This record gives sequence, C-alpha cells and structure tokens, in this order.
Amino acid sequence: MNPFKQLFSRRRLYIDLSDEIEAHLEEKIEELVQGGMSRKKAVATARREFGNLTLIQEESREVWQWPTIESFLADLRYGIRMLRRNPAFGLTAILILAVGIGANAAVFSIVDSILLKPLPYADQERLMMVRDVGDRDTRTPMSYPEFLGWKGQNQIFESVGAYSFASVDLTSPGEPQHVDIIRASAELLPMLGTMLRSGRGFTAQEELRAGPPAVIISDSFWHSRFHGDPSALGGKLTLNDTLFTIVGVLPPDFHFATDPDLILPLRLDAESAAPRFNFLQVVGKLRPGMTLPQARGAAAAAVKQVNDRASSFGGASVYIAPLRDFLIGDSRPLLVALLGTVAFVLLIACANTANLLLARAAARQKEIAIRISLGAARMRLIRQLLTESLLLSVLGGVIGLAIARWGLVSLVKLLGDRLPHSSDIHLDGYVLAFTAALSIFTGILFGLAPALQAGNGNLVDRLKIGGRLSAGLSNTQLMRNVLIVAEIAFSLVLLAGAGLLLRSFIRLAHVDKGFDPDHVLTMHIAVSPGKYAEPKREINYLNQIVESTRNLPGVESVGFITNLPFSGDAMSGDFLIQGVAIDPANVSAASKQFVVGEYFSAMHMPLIRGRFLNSTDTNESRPVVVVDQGFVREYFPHEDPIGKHIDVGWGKRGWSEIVGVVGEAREFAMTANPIPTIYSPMAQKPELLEFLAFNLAVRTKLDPLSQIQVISGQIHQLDSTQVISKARTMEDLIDSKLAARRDPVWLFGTFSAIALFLAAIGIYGVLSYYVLQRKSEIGTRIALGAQNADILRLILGHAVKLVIVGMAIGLAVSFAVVRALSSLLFGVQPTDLPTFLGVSALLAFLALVACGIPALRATRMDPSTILRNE
Amino acid sequence: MKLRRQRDLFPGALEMMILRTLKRQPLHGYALVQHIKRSSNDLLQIEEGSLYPALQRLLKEELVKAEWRISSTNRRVRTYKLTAAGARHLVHEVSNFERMLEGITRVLARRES
Repeated sequence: MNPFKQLFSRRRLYIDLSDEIEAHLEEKIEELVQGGMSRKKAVATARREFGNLTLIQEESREVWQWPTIESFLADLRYGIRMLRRNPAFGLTAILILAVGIGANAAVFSIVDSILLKPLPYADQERLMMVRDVGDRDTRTPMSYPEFLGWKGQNQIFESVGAYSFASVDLTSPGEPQHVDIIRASAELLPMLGTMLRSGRGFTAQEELRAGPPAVIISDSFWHSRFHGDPSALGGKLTLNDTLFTIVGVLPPDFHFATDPDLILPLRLDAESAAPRFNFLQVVGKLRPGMTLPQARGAAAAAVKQVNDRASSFGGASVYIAPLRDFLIGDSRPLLVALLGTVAFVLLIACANTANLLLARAAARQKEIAIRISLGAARMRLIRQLLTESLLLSVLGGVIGLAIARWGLVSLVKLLGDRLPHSSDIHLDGYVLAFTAALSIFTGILFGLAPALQAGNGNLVDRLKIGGRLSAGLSNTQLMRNVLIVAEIAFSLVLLAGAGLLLRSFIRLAHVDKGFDPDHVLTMHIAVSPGKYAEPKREINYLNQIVESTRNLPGVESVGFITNLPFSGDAMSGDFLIQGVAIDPANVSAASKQFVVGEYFSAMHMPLIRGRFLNSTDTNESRPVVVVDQGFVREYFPHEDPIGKHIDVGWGKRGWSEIVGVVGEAREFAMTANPIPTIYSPMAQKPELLEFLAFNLAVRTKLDPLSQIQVISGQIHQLDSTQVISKARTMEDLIDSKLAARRDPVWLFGTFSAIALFLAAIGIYGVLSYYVLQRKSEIGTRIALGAQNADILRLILGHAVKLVIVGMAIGLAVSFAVVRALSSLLFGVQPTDLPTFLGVSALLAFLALVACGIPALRATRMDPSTILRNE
Repeated sequence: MKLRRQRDLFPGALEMMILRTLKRQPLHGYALVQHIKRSSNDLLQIEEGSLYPALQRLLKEELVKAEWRISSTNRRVRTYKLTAAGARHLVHEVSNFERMLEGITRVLARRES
C-alpha cells in the first residue's frame, strides 16, 4: 500500500481493527454461551483465549506505522503532557540541565575554534615556528642575520618569513594615533596563503631599509579611515614622520598575531639590525613531504652551517614547532582544565536530574504498575521513560544554547587576552551538533537509571504500595545514595581546583615585585625618528622631558625606561663578561634595559650596592651599567660585582663597568623567575636610539591619574606634536596583568559554586525524601519516647555516611586530577594540604546545612498526625 | 512477569497457515482461527489474538484483501481473501518450508539410527 494513503487511511484501519477484534470476541462468547457456559464465564474465557488484548492491538497497529518514529512521537506527546501536569518538576530539571549543557557548549565553542580547528592559513600543517634555543633552554625570537641564514637554505623549508611586533605614530590622515603594527617580510603573507582584498604584497625592494616605504592596511582600517574608498589604494599614510604608500588591503577575514591594522615591511639591512638582536618571529613552511621529526633532525645538522654562512652568531640550536602550537601557547592547559570543569558540572547536573526523576518515579509507581498490568511491554516502558528524559534534556539543551550564547560573550571577554584569534570564536554548526549530541547523551545518562528501575521489580508489590511511600524500595534508595555520593565527590574535585587557583592567585598578588607601584604614573612616548634623527638631539629632548616634569608640583622623581615591568615587553640578548671565555653551547643572556633620568628612584627600587645611574653618566664619561640581584646571583655568585666589566652586546662594542646593584623587578610574567637584567644609561648607547621607544615613569605625591593632563601639557610645551599613549598608573598596568590570572579563578570559582549549589540541592532532596519514607518509623519512635537528639542522629547518621564516602572518593579523584592544573598554578603544589582541608571543610559544612533542614523537620513531626494517616 | 506470549512455531508459520487456509475459501478472523485449530487437530496452541497482527502484516504486503460482509450467521464480519500475489507467495513459502522440513526430518532420522 502506498505510504501516503497509509497515513491518511490509518484511522480507518485502526477502527476496522478494533471492530474486528470486538466482533471476534462476541462471536466466541456467543458460541461458548450456546455451548452451555454462563455469560460471565464465557466473557472471561474468550478474553483469556484471545490473549493480551492491549498488546495485540498495539502490535497490529504497529504494522502500519513507521514503528520507532511513531511510538517515539506518541511517547513524546505523553512526555509533554506529563511536563504540563507537573511544571515545577520539569522546569527545575530543564534549568539544571540547561546550566550544565550551556556551560559545556560555551566552553566547547572556545575549545573547538582554538584547539580543534586548523589555522585559517593555506597548508597550515606545514607552517612552523623557528626559534633560537637560548640560555637555560629559553626559546627566543631570531636576529635579522639568522633569519637571512634560514631564508638562504632550501633543504628544510620551502620558504621562510619573519615578522616582529612594533608600534608607530600615525599622524595623517585623520587623528594622530599610536598604532600597534607588525613588520613582516615579503614572504609572510604569500606563505599564509592570504589573498589580498586589493593591491599587492611587498616587493623585495620595499623590504630594504632604503627601499620605498610601503604599507598594507587591514580591511577594518580601510573602512574606518577611508570609508572603504577604493582610491585609498595608492594613498599615503604618515607614519613616524615618513610618508608610506598604501600598496594593499587585507581581506576582512584575515587574522594573524595581534590582528594589526597596519603591516609594514621589515625595512632592515644587515648593518642596521645587529647579530644577537633577537626580535624576529621566524615562520618556515616545510617542504612538502617533510615531517616535523625530519625537519628537526635536518635543522640540528644545518644550524652551524646556516649561522656561519650568514655570520649571524645565532644560537647553538634551534627549536622547530608547529605555528599552531605556538599561537595556542599556554591557553591549552587552561582550556583543558575549563572543559574538565564544565564536564563535572554537567555530571552533577545529571546526577541531580536523575535524582529528581527517581523521586518522581517513586510517585509514579502506581501509574507504571498499572501500565505493566495492562500489558505494556517492558522495553516499551523503558523507551517511554527515556523519551521523557530526552525531552527534558533536549529542552535543557535549547535553553542551554541561549545560556551558551550569553556565556560565550562573557567567557571571551574574560579570557580574550589569553586566547589566540579570539575574535573568531562563535557558536557555529559544530557547536550546535556538539550541543545536540550532548543533550541526547545527557538525557540517556540521567534517564537510564530511573528507566531501568521502572522496568524492574515485583508488580504485585508495586500495586500494593501504590502511591504510598514505604520501605522496600531499597534498590531506588541505593541508586539515590550512589548519585549523592557522586555529586559530593564531583563537587569536591571542582572545589579543590578552584581552591588551588585561588590560593595560587593570592600568592601571586602578594609576591614581592621588587618595586613600589603605588603613586607611579607611566606613559609611552615614541620619539619621532625624523625630527630627532640626530641621537644627541633625542637624548637632550628626553632629558628635557625628565627635567621639566620633575619641576611639576607633587612630582618626586622621573625617569625613562625601555620596557616597563609587567608590560609584557622585553628585550634580551647575550653579553660578555670580561675575563670569562665564551662558551658557545651556553651563551650568557640577560634582559637589557636602557635608562634616562631617575628611573630607579621613581620606581622605588632598592639599591643593594654601589650607586644608581645618574646624569653624570654621559657619552663622554666612562661606560657604566647597573645590574640587578638576579644578575649577581647568576654570574657573580661568590664575588663582588662592583668594578667588574661587561660588554652589553648591542651597539658599539666595549667594556662597561658595573657600578651598582639594584633589587629585582619582576620584569616578565610574574610566574617566571625574573631574568637577570642589565640597566645601561641611554646616553652611553646613542647608536641604539632609533630602535627603542621609551616609557616615562613619574612618581608623584598627588593622585597619578589627575596628573596625566599636566604632564602631557608639559611635554607638549617642549614638542607640540609628540604622541603620548598608554597613560596609566603602574598599579593599573599590574592589575591588567593580574587579570589574566584572576579571571580563570573567577571562572573556576563560578563553576564550582554552581556545582556546590546543585550538590546541596541534591543532598537536601535525597534527605527530605529519606525522611518522608521513614515518616512512620520516626513517628513511632517519637511516640515511644525518642528524643530530638535520637531522631537527629538517625537522619544525620545516614547523611554523614554518604558525605564521608563522597568526600573520600572526591579527595582521591582530586589528587589524581588536579595535576592537570599544575601549569596554571604559581607557588602552590597541586597537592596543597591546606587547600584540600579548606575545601573539604567547606563542603562538609554545606552538606550538613543541606541535611540539617530535613533532619530538624523530622524532629518536629507530630507522631499522632503521622500515625493516624497510616 | 508472565506477560510473554507464546511465540509462533517459527517466524512466518502463522502467516503461511493463514494464506493456505484462505486459499481454499475467504474467511473472517474468528472462522480462520477456528479452522486452523481444527485442522491441526488442536495440536497447535494458537493464541487467538495473535492472528490479528499477522493479518495486518499480510494486508500491508497486499497478500490478502479484506472487506466487511454479512456472514451466514448474519454477523457483520471482516472477510479476508487471498490475492494473486498472496497465492504466489504461498507457493514460494510452502516449497521453502517443505525443503526445510525435509532437511530437519533427515537430520532427526539420522540421529535416531
């Protein structure tokens, strides 16, 4: 029969069927009566011989149905009806699940776009980051000669490109602005497979220092500055007083590094970019068919040859790793930990919902028993209950998606700085599929226990018990207990993780920074290279700024530094110690800073020995440097460093005398141990000026933020075109750095709070149910003279057992799992005892509160009421 | 739970017997089951109801047709009639069955000797 006809005529078919069966029974009864049987007995006999009427009808109808789908639809209709009848239950379950599924969907979107999706570049699996292996196995960028060396080989890489981070002052057209840019070699964009929206890439000529100035602009910059006008191509931008021609516009979906608005060519030559000046991020594209291990082997063999040919003084070895890993960086452990956390939240949500379902199943005993006695097949019943739980989980998933959409925005806002190409993260088809699969899996996970439970057990018992709750459902009780133990265990794991992160953060915030950020204002000042091409002029200008700022009211001391601590910027390289032979395998490296004015006093850095740098250290006086304690510990552990000589390694070579030792400022990320630092007076290294930009640090008695206008005004009196950017207090700078550490604490804290709340509800629910079940027992006990304390002991004794078992399991799991967090921790062991004791106490306390309410209620029961109702 | 029904002898057996019975004459459900019971000398314990799912399957595959008629005892009954496809199907099934039966018989006979 044609299936469509079937659909329309099915009602007719069913009517025929039941008419037919009825006729069959009637005929049989009549025959039996004629045979001499009483009518009543005949009806019973006919029924018996016919078999299970309901089941037969159902089976006969199923012949006409698309069986699974149709009975599924029927179950679904029934499920919706059940939900409408008990909206409070449904809403609770759906919301709990929505939170669990939503959190997972949001975190999965991030994991998907960062850890799972390939980079949006052509042949991205062949793109490799090539880095120098420096002192203490640190991996650093490369110098320009090294880059040229690697570009010159063709055994390993098909092509090699480089980029560096920089910033320029954009003065026309439009508002003057300090812009973060990247400088890229001509190979980079073609290597990434970038198809420019319009224009062309850089030429070899433009790469050179003396070549024609060219710039490629981003799509968003093109829109914001030129309103998408095609004539912008070929137009000019004034960058650091030089006119640059716009030669290309990037496509709108281009993402790379910091997503800069402008890309400039390297504009370097071997003279201007010294060996050992490591600032270039080098990217190589492997030759087709070359594997990573092969490339590493070949590079290890080639490194000496490459360095010699380019006379680059490069490191003794290079480190090659996929560009992808480099870009993902340290966001991987964070994301994995986050994914684990939300998975635990979902498990707890499932346990909670399963508990709710079990409680409802108890109330539905009678309904289920009746359905079984009317001939419902067991599988059919299980399927129906599963459909109901699927209905809950899918509705939870839909609301969860809404939560995920909202949560994702906050997540990206919180973590954005720590994530590569975070602007790319959104809910997409994969996330939808993931959420759908998760919802279904969840529904089965929490629905299976109650469904199997319903299919089991003695029918007669069930009918007898009916709607009344009584002992004897020990199976259900056991399952509920197991679920509660699981919830407590999962919560403890999450709490332990959050506790560790919190402790780690507190440690971090109170770590000695090596300076006093209070009342210090900082601002970035990039000096126009055109206007101050003469180094002496620039030094004078910087000194003038220091002098005039110091004369402002409230100002105590003023100085310039190349890189502020906590700014994330740093420059490091190798250097020589007089009288110490160079060990090529282990070149000494240090962070290099250049100082104008009284930077040390402005930052309140402690002077350990000798003297600070001061205005007497000029290009005419003998070369001097100041080093920090870390430097002394590393290179002069048993000697007095004062009077020793080192060659700073950049600019003109020559020995400088160490005249002072200062405390260690936590120069790099707070987690890393500070790298030994050399401070040189800028006045003695004028040849480096054109590569450096400066940060002004002003210590004032007044509110630092209130001084921004005053100080900028003062500087503009010296040069009205000076671009001043990033004006902020040192405390804000540190805070922005700490935020990257604080935000994960918030996240984990929030998730474990949700988990804890769910677990508390779960415990409360189970205990309430336990009390309800034992109502008559408790009533009898009270009637027989049991005291409140006895009743409390009875109820709490049960709860305490569950909590203890749950916590024991939770602690065991935590010890095994929190190791995953170790890379996110600072100064705290993953097995930190105080943390574990603390979170255990917190959990135990909350569990007791959750248990206490039903227990206290039990003591207030009125025995006469209870027993009368029995 | 004693809800499990007695199963057919083997899948398709009931359908085959129905088709065979209907080949001789169109019958309605009740008469059909009585006929099968009688012709098997009550050796086959058939739950009367189990006939109906089988009849629905045959109807769906268009091996039989049904129509409401008035029976000789003046009842309104739904009478089933073999279709041409049903007759062909029966021949096919019976020959299959006979081959299977022959096989089984041989195996059993060998075992006894």
